[in-house]
Amino acid sequence: MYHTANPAPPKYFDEKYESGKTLSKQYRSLTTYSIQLQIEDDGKFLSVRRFPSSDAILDAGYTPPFDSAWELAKGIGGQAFLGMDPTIPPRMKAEATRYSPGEKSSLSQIVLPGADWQNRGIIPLDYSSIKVNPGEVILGHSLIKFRVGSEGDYISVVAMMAPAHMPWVWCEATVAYKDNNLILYAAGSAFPCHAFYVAGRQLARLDLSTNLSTLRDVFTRGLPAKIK
Amino acid sequence: MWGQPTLVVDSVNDQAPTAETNKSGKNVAEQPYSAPANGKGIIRAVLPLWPPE
Repeated sequence: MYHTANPAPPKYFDEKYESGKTLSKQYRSLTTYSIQLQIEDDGKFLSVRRFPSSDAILDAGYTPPFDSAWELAKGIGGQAFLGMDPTIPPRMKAEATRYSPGEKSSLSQIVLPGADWQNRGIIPLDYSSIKVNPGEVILGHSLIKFRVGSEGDYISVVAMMAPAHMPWVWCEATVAYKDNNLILYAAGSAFPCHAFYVAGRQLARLDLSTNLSTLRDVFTRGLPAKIK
Repeated sequence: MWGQPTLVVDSVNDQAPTAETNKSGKNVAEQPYSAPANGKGIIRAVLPLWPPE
């Protein structure tokens, strides 16, 4: 977002996930899992299993510190002037100077094969927005619904007088297999950028806009209204 | 072994959505999901496991 923007997602993501260290906390949410696939010489699907001893990760990420001390000063100064909730200035300072954990909805789930080899794919969550093509075997499905953490939400509602809670964002991906191809399906709500990786390589991105000027407008003044 | 059931990996450290009240004492509504990104819809990307012959 405007004063807490993250760097662009890397082209490769092949490190082992480690809570609090991965990507130096520079992400708003992250899901990852590992599976193992057996196929015949002609590419026909044989079996799949969850990679032994691997973890399935659903991480609601972080809001980074403000990149501008002036933004923090404006916020705290404004609150002092308005004489509102006295806990707000210290809350704002804490929020603006640390990596603040995000909040994750209980709808967030990952569906994977079991630990033993199985000769069929998995059944995705009922509320999936993704439909795969006929004949493709679904190997894994992940969906995370997340937003800024409770402190950021409190500041937004109480200090900034936002009329609603901070919005949820969702990000969904399905990995399927057919005829020697891994097939990634990916979807997500409006957000600066979603990035999707298969075998450690960025295979797709979903950007709200690739124009930085447009993004800046969106996150300072909001999305333009559509007037007919 | 064949045909093991699939595994739904539940999220950990789940937190229910918060419910704050603003200064006027009015309940603050939850916002619905935001819209799909720019109408781009669902991405489908293919990664061959080895180069075709």
